[in-house]
Amino acid sequence: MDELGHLGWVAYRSFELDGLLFGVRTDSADFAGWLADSLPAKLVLDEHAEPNYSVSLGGLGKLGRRFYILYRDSTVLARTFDVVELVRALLTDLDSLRYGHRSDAVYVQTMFLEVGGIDVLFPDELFGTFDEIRRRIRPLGLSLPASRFVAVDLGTGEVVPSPGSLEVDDAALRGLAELVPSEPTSWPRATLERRTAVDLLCTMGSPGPEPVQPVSRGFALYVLASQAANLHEVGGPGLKALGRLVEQAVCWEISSRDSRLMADSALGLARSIDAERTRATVGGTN
Amino acid sequence: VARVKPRTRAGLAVAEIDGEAVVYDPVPSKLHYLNHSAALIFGLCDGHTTIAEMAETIGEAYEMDPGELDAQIRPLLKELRERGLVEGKAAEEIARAAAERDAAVAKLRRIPVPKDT
Repeated sequence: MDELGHLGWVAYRSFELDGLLFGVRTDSADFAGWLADSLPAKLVLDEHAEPNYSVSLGGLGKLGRRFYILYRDSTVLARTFDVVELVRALLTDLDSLRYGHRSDAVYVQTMFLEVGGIDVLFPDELFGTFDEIRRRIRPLGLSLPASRFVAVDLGTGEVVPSPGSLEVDDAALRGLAELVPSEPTSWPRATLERRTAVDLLCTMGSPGPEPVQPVSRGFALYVLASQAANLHEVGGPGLKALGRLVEQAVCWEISSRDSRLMADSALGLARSIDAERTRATVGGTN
Repeated sequence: VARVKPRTRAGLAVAEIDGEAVVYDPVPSKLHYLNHSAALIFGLCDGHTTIAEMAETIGEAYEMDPGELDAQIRPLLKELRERGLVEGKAAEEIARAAAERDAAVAKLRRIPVPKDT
Protein backbone atom coordinates (compact mmCIF):
# COMPACT_ATOMS: atom_id res chain seq x y z
CA MET A 1 0.00 0.00 0.00
CA ASP A 2 2.85 2.42 -0.84
CA GLU A 3 0.44 4.63 -2.75
CA LEU A 4 -1.60 5.31 0.40
CA GLY A 5 0.43 8.33 1.51
CA HIS A 6 0.99 9.62 -2.01
CA LEU A 7 -2.75 9.88 -2.68
CA GLY A 8 -3.66 11.23 0.72
CA TRP A 9 -5.03 7.99 2.07
CA VAL A 10 -3.65 7.15 5.48
CA ALA A 11 -5.19 3.79 6.26
CA TYR A 12 -6.38 0.64 4.53
CA ARG A 13 -8.41 -2.19 6.00
CA SER A 14 -9.57 -5.37 4.32
CA PHE A 15 -12.59 -7.40 5.40
CA GLU A 16 -14.36 -10.64 4.69
CA LEU A 17 -18.12 -10.93 4.52
CA ASP A 18 -19.62 -14.39 3.91
CA GLY A 19 -16.46 -15.43 2.09
CA LEU A 20 -16.35 -12.26 -0.03
CA LEU A 21 -13.42 -9.91 0.35
CA PHE A 22 -13.43 -6.14 0.12
CA GLY A 23 -11.09 -3.34 1.08
CA VAL A 24 -11.61 0.19 2.42
CA ARG A 25 -9.05 2.97 2.32
CA THR A 26 -9.58 6.29 4.01
CA ASP A 27 -7.90 9.57 4.78
CA SER A 28 -8.81 9.24 8.47
CA ALA A 29 -7.00 6.86 10.80
CA ASP A 30 -9.81 7.33 13.35
CA PHE A 31 -12.43 6.26 10.84
CA ALA A 32 -10.35 3.25 9.84
CA GLY A 33 -10.20 2.23 13.49
CA TRP A 34 -13.94 2.72 13.87
CA LEU A 35 -14.60 0.58 10.78
CA ALA A 36 -12.41 -2.22 12.10
CA ASP A 37 -14.35 -2.21 15.37
CA SER A 38 -17.86 -1.64 14.09
CA LEU A 39 -18.36 -2.99 10.58
CA PRO A 40 -20.32 -6.27 10.59
CA ALA A 41 -17.54 -8.01 8.67
CA LYS A 42 -14.40 -9.87 9.66
CA LEU A 43 -11.15 -7.92 9.55
CA VAL A 44 -8.59 -9.78 7.44
CA LEU A 45 -5.17 -9.06 5.99
CA ASP A 46 -5.37 -8.89 2.23
CA GLU A 47 -3.90 -5.98 0.32
CA HIS A 48 -5.58 -6.96 -2.91
CA ALA A 49 -9.16 -7.37 -1.73
CA GLU A 50 -11.75 -6.19 -4.24
CA PRO A 51 -13.91 -4.21 -4.59
CA ASN A 52 -12.09 -1.29 -3.13
CA TYR A 53 -14.04 1.34 -1.29
CA SER A 54 -12.54 4.75 -0.56
CA VAL A 55 -13.83 7.07 2.12
CA SER A 56 -12.77 10.69 2.00
CA LEU A 57 -13.55 12.64 5.14
CA GLY A 58 -11.29 15.59 4.48
CA GLY A 59 -13.39 17.63 2.06
CA LEU A 60 -14.45 21.22 2.76
CA GLY A 61 -17.41 22.70 0.91
CA LYS A 62 -17.79 26.28 -0.36
CA LEU A 63 -19.23 27.47 2.92
CA GLY A 64 -16.60 25.69 4.97
CA ARG A 65 -18.90 22.77 5.71
CA ARG A 66 -17.17 19.44 5.91
CA PHE A 67 -18.39 16.86 3.42
CA TYR A 68 -17.69 13.19 3.00
CA ILE A 69 -17.47 11.00 -0.07
CA LEU A 70 -17.74 7.24 -0.48
CA TYR A 71 -16.42 5.67 -3.65
CA ARG A 72 -16.61 2.11 -4.88
CA ASP A 73 -13.58 1.95 -7.13
CA SER A 74 -14.09 5.17 -9.16
CA THR A 75 -17.88 5.39 -8.73
CA VAL A 76 -19.25 7.88 -6.22
CA LEU A 77 -21.79 6.13 -3.97
CA ALA A 78 -22.41 8.98 -1.56
CA ARG A 79 -21.47 12.61 -1.24
CA THR A 80 -22.85 13.93 2.02
CA PHE A 81 -22.42 16.13 5.09
CA ASP A 82 -23.72 13.23 7.18
CA VAL A 83 -21.16 10.57 8.04
CA VAL A 84 -23.92 8.19 9.20
CA GLU A 85 -25.52 8.45 5.75
CA LEU A 86 -22.13 7.55 4.29
CA VAL A 87 -21.88 4.47 6.51
CA ARG A 88 -25.40 3.40 5.55
CA ALA A 89 -24.47 3.76 1.88
CA LEU A 90 -21.47 1.53 2.50
CA LEU A 91 -23.63 -1.09 4.24
CA THR A 92 -26.17 -1.00 1.41
CA ASP A 93 -23.47 -1.55 -1.15
CA LEU A 94 -21.88 -4.34 0.89
CA ASP A 95 -25.27 -6.05 0.91
CA SER A 96 -25.21 -6.02 -2.88
CA LEU A 97 -21.94 -8.01 -2.89
CA ARG A 98 -23.99 -11.01 -1.75
CA TYR A 99 -26.75 -10.73 -4.35
CA GLY A 100 -24.80 -12.96 -6.72
CA HIS A 101 -25.40 -15.90 -4.38
CA ARG A 102 -29.10 -15.32 -3.74
CA SER A 103 -32.00 -17.03 -5.46
CA ASP A 104 -35.04 -15.49 -3.72
CA ALA A 105 -35.45 -12.72 -6.34
CA VAL A 106 -33.64 -11.34 -9.36
CA TYR A 107 -31.22 -8.66 -8.21
CA VAL A 108 -30.63 -6.12 -10.92
CA GLN A 109 -28.17 -3.26 -10.94
CA THR A 110 -30.54 -0.45 -11.79
CA MET A 111 -31.98 2.42 -9.84
CA PHE A 112 -35.61 2.76 -8.79
CA LEU A 113 -37.10 6.23 -8.63
CA GLU A 114 -40.67 7.46 -8.35
CA VAL A 115 -41.16 10.53 -10.52
CA GLY A 116 -44.60 12.01 -9.96
CA GLY A 117 -46.85 8.99 -10.18
CA ILE A 118 -44.49 7.05 -12.44
CA ASP A 119 -42.30 4.21 -11.19
CA VAL A 120 -39.08 4.26 -13.16
CA LEU A 121 -35.94 2.21 -13.46
CA PHE A 122 -32.97 4.34 -14.42
CA PRO A 123 -29.50 3.06 -15.37
CA ASP A 124 -27.34 2.94 -12.30
CA GLU A 125 -24.74 4.98 -14.18
CA LEU A 126 -26.91 7.96 -13.22
CA PHE A 127 -26.63 7.23 -9.49
CA GLY A 128 -23.70 9.59 -8.97
CA THR A 129 -25.11 12.22 -11.32
CA PHE A 130 -28.43 12.40 -9.50
CA ASP A 131 -26.43 12.84 -6.32
CA GLU A 132 -24.49 15.73 -7.89
CA ILE A 133 -27.64 17.52 -9.01
CA ARG A 134 -29.67 16.75 -5.91
CA ARG A 135 -30.21 20.46 -5.20
CA ARG A 136 -31.90 20.78 -8.58
CA ILE A 137 -34.00 17.65 -8.38
CA ARG A 138 -35.02 17.93 -4.74
CA PRO A 139 -37.73 20.55 -5.51
CA LEU A 140 -39.26 17.98 -7.88
CA GLY A 141 -40.22 15.94 -4.83
CA LEU A 142 -37.87 13.10 -5.65
CA SER A 143 -36.04 10.97 -3.12
CA LEU A 144 -32.87 9.36 -4.34
CA PRO A 145 -32.73 5.63 -3.77
CA ALA A 146 -30.49 4.14 -1.12
CA SER A 147 -29.47 1.26 -3.35
CA ARG A 148 -28.14 0.86 -6.87
CA PHE A 149 -29.98 -2.47 -7.09
CA VAL A 150 -33.60 -3.56 -7.19
CA ALA A 151 -35.09 -6.91 -6.30
CA VAL A 152 -37.56 -8.32 -8.84
CA ASP A 153 -40.17 -10.83 -7.71
CA LEU A 154 -39.69 -14.17 -9.46
CA GLY A 155 -43.42 -14.74 -9.77
CA THR A 156 -44.85 -11.38 -10.79
CA GLY A 157 -41.96 -9.39 -12.21
CA GLU A 158 -42.74 -6.59 -9.78
CA VAL A 159 -40.01 -4.64 -8.05
CA VAL A 160 -40.20 -5.55 -4.37
CA PRO A 161 -38.70 -4.22 -1.14
CA SER A 162 -35.36 -5.73 -0.24
CA PRO A 163 -34.45 -4.68 3.29
CA GLY A 164 -30.76 -4.47 4.03
CA SER A 165 -29.36 -7.19 6.21
CA LEU A 166 -26.24 -5.41 7.50
CA GLU A 167 -26.43 -3.04 10.41
CA VAL A 168 -24.20 -1.11 12.73
CA ASP A 169 -25.58 -0.69 16.23
CA ASP A 170 -26.71 2.70 17.49
CA ALA A 171 -23.97 2.96 20.12
CA ALA A 172 -21.32 2.55 17.43
CA LEU A 173 -23.00 5.20 15.27
CA ARG A 174 -23.06 7.58 18.24
CA GLY A 175 -19.37 6.86 18.73
CA LEU A 176 -18.74 7.70 15.09
CA ALA A 177 -20.57 11.01 15.44
CA GLU A 178 -18.16 11.88 18.26
CA LEU A 179 -15.15 11.01 16.11
CA VAL A 180 -16.26 12.77 12.94
CA PRO A 181 -18.14 16.10 12.96
CA SER A 182 -21.33 15.58 11.00
CA GLU A 183 -24.63 17.20 10.05
CA PRO A 184 -27.65 14.87 9.89
CA THR A 185 -28.99 14.82 6.37
CA SER A 186 -32.26 16.61 5.75
CA TRP A 187 -32.95 14.57 2.64
CA PRO A 188 -32.51 10.90 3.46
CA ARG A 189 -32.26 8.37 0.70
CA ALA A 190 -35.35 6.28 0.08
CA THR A 191 -35.78 2.55 0.40
CA LEU A 192 -38.62 0.91 -1.48
CA GLU A 193 -41.41 -0.05 0.89
CA ARG A 194 -44.02 -1.37 -1.53
CA ARG A 195 -44.12 -3.80 -4.41
CA THR A 196 -44.80 -2.22 -7.76
CA ALA A 197 -44.86 -2.78 -11.49
CA VAL A 198 -42.43 -0.60 -13.42
CA ASP A 199 -44.01 2.02 -15.71
CA LEU A 200 -40.89 3.27 -17.45
CA LEU A 201 -37.66 1.39 -18.04
CA CYS A 202 -34.66 3.47 -19.10
CA THR A 203 -31.54 1.63 -20.19
CA MET A 204 -28.18 2.89 -21.42
CA GLY A 205 -27.84 2.87 -25.20
CA SER A 206 -25.16 3.69 -27.75
CA PRO A 207 -24.42 7.37 -28.30
CA GLY A 208 -26.92 8.88 -30.71
CA PRO A 209 -28.21 12.21 -31.99
CA GLU A 210 -31.07 12.34 -29.46
CA PRO A 211 -30.41 12.13 -25.71
CA VAL A 212 -33.21 9.58 -25.35
CA GLN A 213 -34.94 7.33 -27.84
CA PRO A 214 -37.50 4.53 -27.72
CA VAL A 215 -36.17 0.99 -27.73
CA SER A 216 -37.87 -2.34 -28.32
CA ARG A 217 -38.97 -4.29 -25.27
CA GLY A 218 -36.91 -7.25 -26.43
CA PHE A 219 -33.71 -5.24 -26.47
CA ALA A 220 -34.61 -3.53 -23.18
CA LEU A 221 -35.06 -6.97 -21.63
CA TYR A 222 -31.64 -8.01 -22.94
CA VAL A 223 -29.98 -4.96 -21.40
CA LEU A 224 -31.86 -5.32 -18.11
CA ALA A 225 -31.04 -9.03 -17.86
CA SER A 226 -27.37 -8.19 -18.52
CA GLN A 227 -27.49 -6.09 -15.35
CA ALA A 228 -28.76 -8.97 -13.18
CA ALA A 229 -26.29 -10.01 -10.50
CA ASN A 230 -27.68 -13.51 -10.01
CA LEU A 231 -29.10 -14.75 -13.32
CA HIS A 232 -26.85 -17.80 -12.98
CA GLU A 233 -28.74 -18.60 -9.75
CA VAL A 234 -32.30 -17.89 -10.88
CA GLY A 235 -31.93 -18.98 -14.53
CA GLY A 236 -35.07 -19.33 -16.66
CA PRO A 237 -37.58 -18.23 -13.98
CA GLY A 238 -35.46 -15.14 -13.41
CA LEU A 239 -35.39 -14.27 -17.10
CA LYS A 240 -39.17 -14.79 -17.34
CA ALA A 241 -39.68 -12.51 -14.31
CA LEU A 242 -37.68 -9.77 -16.01
CA GLY A 243 -39.75 -10.38 -19.14
CA ARG A 244 -42.91 -9.75 -17.13
CA LEU A 245 -41.40 -6.55 -15.75
CA VAL A 246 -40.53 -5.30 -19.23
CA GLU A 247 -43.92 -6.28 -20.71
CA GLN A 248 -45.64 -3.77 -18.45
CA ALA A 249 -43.19 -0.93 -19.06
CA VAL A 250 -42.57 1.73 -21.67
CA CYS A 251 -38.94 1.31 -22.74
CA TRP A 252 -36.49 4.03 -23.70
CA GLU A 253 -32.74 4.16 -23.93
CA ILE A 254 -30.47 7.00 -22.97
CA SER A 255 -28.07 7.82 -25.78
CA SER A 256 -26.24 10.81 -24.39
CA ARG A 257 -22.85 10.56 -22.73
CA ASP A 258 -23.22 13.88 -20.93
CA SER A 259 -24.24 12.78 -17.47
CA ARG A 260 -26.28 15.87 -16.61
CA LEU A 261 -28.06 15.87 -19.96
CA MET A 262 -28.73 12.18 -19.41
CA ALA A 263 -30.26 12.79 -16.01
CA ASP A 264 -32.35 15.74 -17.19
CA SER A 265 -33.58 13.84 -20.26
CA ALA A 266 -34.50 10.78 -18.23
CA LEU A 267 -36.40 12.85 -15.68
CA GLY A 268 -38.11 14.82 -18.48
CA LEU A 269 -39.21 11.55 -20.04
CA ALA A 270 -40.75 10.33 -16.80
CA ARG A 271 -42.54 13.62 -16.28
CA SER A 272 -43.95 13.60 -19.81
CA ILE A 273 -45.28 10.07 -19.32
CA ASP A 274 -46.82 11.14 -16.02
CA ALA A 275 -48.47 14.13 -17.72
CA GLU A 276 -49.70 11.95 -20.59
CA ARG A 277 -51.20 9.48 -18.15
CA THR A 278 -52.89 12.28 -16.20
CA ARG A 279 -54.39 13.65 -19.43
CA ALA A 280 -55.63 10.18 -20.37
CA THR A 281 -57.18 9.69 -16.93
CA VAL A 282 -58.88 13.07 -17.01
CA GLY A 283 -60.07 12.44 -20.57
CA GLY A 284 -61.37 9.03 -19.56
CA THR A 285 -63.45 10.38 -16.73
CA ASN A 286 -65.08 13.14 -18.78
CA VAL B 1 -28.30 -36.99 -47.83
CA ALA B 2 -30.63 -36.57 -44.87
CA ARG B 3 -32.38 -33.23 -44.79
CA VAL B 4 -31.23 -31.05 -41.90
CA LYS B 5 -33.79 -30.50 -39.14
CA PRO B 6 -32.24 -27.89 -36.82
CA ARG B 7 -32.88 -28.21 -33.11
CA THR B 8 -32.28 -25.67 -30.33
CA ARG B 9 -29.76 -26.73 -27.73
CA ALA B 10 -31.23 -28.19 -24.56
CA GLY B 11 -31.03 -26.22 -21.33
CA LEU B 12 -31.49 -22.72 -22.75
CA ALA B 13 -33.91 -20.29 -21.08
CA VAL B 14 -35.95 -18.18 -23.48
CA ALA B 15 -38.13 -15.13 -22.92
CA GLU B 16 -40.13 -13.92 -25.91
CA ILE B 17 -41.48 -10.43 -26.09
CA ASP B 18 -43.16 -8.60 -29.00
CA GLY B 19 -41.77 -11.13 -31.49
CA GLU B 20 -38.18 -10.75 -30.25
CA ALA B 21 -36.43 -13.07 -27.83
CA VAL B 22 -33.77 -13.07 -25.17
CA VAL B 23 -31.98 -16.36 -24.62
CA TYR B 24 -29.99 -17.17 -21.49
CA ASP B 25 -27.37 -19.84 -21.93
CA PRO B 26 -26.45 -21.02 -18.42
CA VAL B 27 -23.33 -22.92 -19.42
CA PRO B 28 -21.12 -20.01 -20.33
CA SER B 29 -23.68 -17.80 -18.47
CA LYS B 30 -24.33 -15.67 -21.52
CA LEU B 31 -27.29 -13.67 -22.80
CA HIS B 32 -28.30 -13.42 -26.45
CA TYR B 33 -30.69 -10.95 -28.03
CA LEU B 34 -32.62 -12.25 -31.05
CA ASN B 35 -34.38 -9.73 -33.29
CA HIS B 36 -37.67 -10.62 -35.03
CA SER B 37 -36.10 -12.68 -37.83
CA ALA B 38 -33.68 -14.57 -35.60
CA ALA B 39 -36.39 -15.22 -33.00
CA LEU B 40 -38.72 -16.55 -35.69
CA ILE B 41 -36.13 -19.01 -37.01
CA PHE B 42 -35.02 -19.96 -33.50
CA GLY B 43 -38.64 -20.80 -32.63
CA LEU B 44 -38.86 -23.14 -35.63
CA CYS B 45 -35.76 -25.12 -34.65
CA ASP B 46 -37.75 -27.96 -33.09
CA GLY B 47 -35.77 -30.87 -34.55
CA HIS B 48 -38.70 -31.84 -36.79
CA THR B 49 -38.78 -28.99 -39.31
CA THR B 50 -36.47 -28.84 -42.31
CA ILE B 51 -35.11 -25.56 -43.64
CA ALA B 52 -37.42 -25.85 -46.63
CA GLU B 53 -40.39 -26.32 -44.33
CA MET B 54 -39.31 -23.31 -42.30
CA ALA B 55 -39.25 -21.25 -45.49
CA GLU B 56 -42.73 -22.51 -46.41
CA THR B 57 -44.17 -21.75 -42.97
CA ILE B 58 -42.75 -18.22 -42.93
CA GLY B 59 -43.66 -17.69 -46.58
CA GLU B 60 -47.30 -18.58 -45.88
CA ALA B 61 -47.47 -16.38 -42.79
CA TYR B 62 -45.85 -13.34 -44.40
CA GLU B 63 -46.85 -13.94 -48.02
CA MET B 64 -43.23 -14.23 -49.17
CA ASP B 65 -41.49 -16.45 -51.69
CA PRO B 66 -40.11 -19.56 -49.88
CA GLY B 67 -37.26 -19.73 -52.41
CA GLU B 68 -35.99 -16.28 -51.40
CA LEU B 69 -36.55 -17.04 -47.71
CA ASP B 70 -34.38 -20.14 -47.88
CA ALA B 71 -31.37 -17.96 -48.70
CA GLN B 72 -32.13 -15.71 -45.72
CA ILE B 73 -32.72 -18.53 -43.26
CA ARG B 74 -29.40 -20.31 -43.84
CA PRO B 75 -27.10 -17.48 -42.67
CA LEU B 76 -29.31 -16.90 -39.64
CA LEU B 77 -29.13 -20.58 -38.76
CA LYS B 78 -25.37 -20.48 -39.21
CA GLU B 79 -25.15 -17.63 -36.73
CA LEU B 80 -27.43 -19.41 -34.24
CA ARG B 81 -25.21 -22.49 -34.53
CA GLU B 82 -22.06 -20.44 -34.07
CA ARG B 83 -23.53 -18.95 -30.91
CA GLY B 84 -24.24 -22.46 -29.67
CA LEU B 85 -28.01 -21.87 -29.53
CA VAL B 86 -28.81 -24.46 -32.19
CA GLU B 87 -27.24 -27.91 -32.17
CA GLY B 88 -24.01 -28.12 -34.12
CA LYS B 89 -20.28 -28.00 -33.60
CA ALA B 90 -20.30 -24.98 -31.25
CA ALA B 91 -23.08 -26.48 -29.12
CA GLU B 92 -21.08 -29.71 -28.83
CA GLU B 93 -17.98 -27.78 -27.76
CA ILE B 94 -19.98 -25.85 -25.15
CA ALA B 95 -21.46 -29.10 -23.81
CA ARG B 96 -17.97 -30.67 -23.66
CA ALA B 97 -16.52 -27.62 -21.87
CA ALA B 98 -19.41 -27.70 -19.39
CA ALA B 99 -18.84 -31.39 -18.68
CA GLU B 100 -15.11 -30.74 -18.13
CA ARG B 101 -15.89 -27.84 -15.82
CA ASP B 102 -18.38 -29.90 -13.80
CA ALA B 103 -15.81 -32.69 -13.47
CA ALA B 104 -13.16 -30.21 -12.29
CA VAL B 105 -15.56 -28.69 -9.73
CA ALA B 106 -16.48 -32.17 -8.46
CA LYS B 107 -12.77 -33.01 -8.13
CA LEU B 108 -12.10 -29.79 -6.20
CA ARG B 109 -14.96 -30.59 -3.83
CA ARG B 110 -13.29 -33.87 -2.95
CA ILE B 111 -10.08 -32.15 -1.83
CA PRO B 112 -10.22 -31.70 1.95
CA VAL B 113 -9.69 -28.11 3.10
CA PRO B 114 -7.46 -27.92 6.18
CA LYS B 115 -8.82 -25.85 9.04
CA ASP B 116 -7.25 -22.50 9.94
CA THR B 117 -5.96 -21.75 6.47
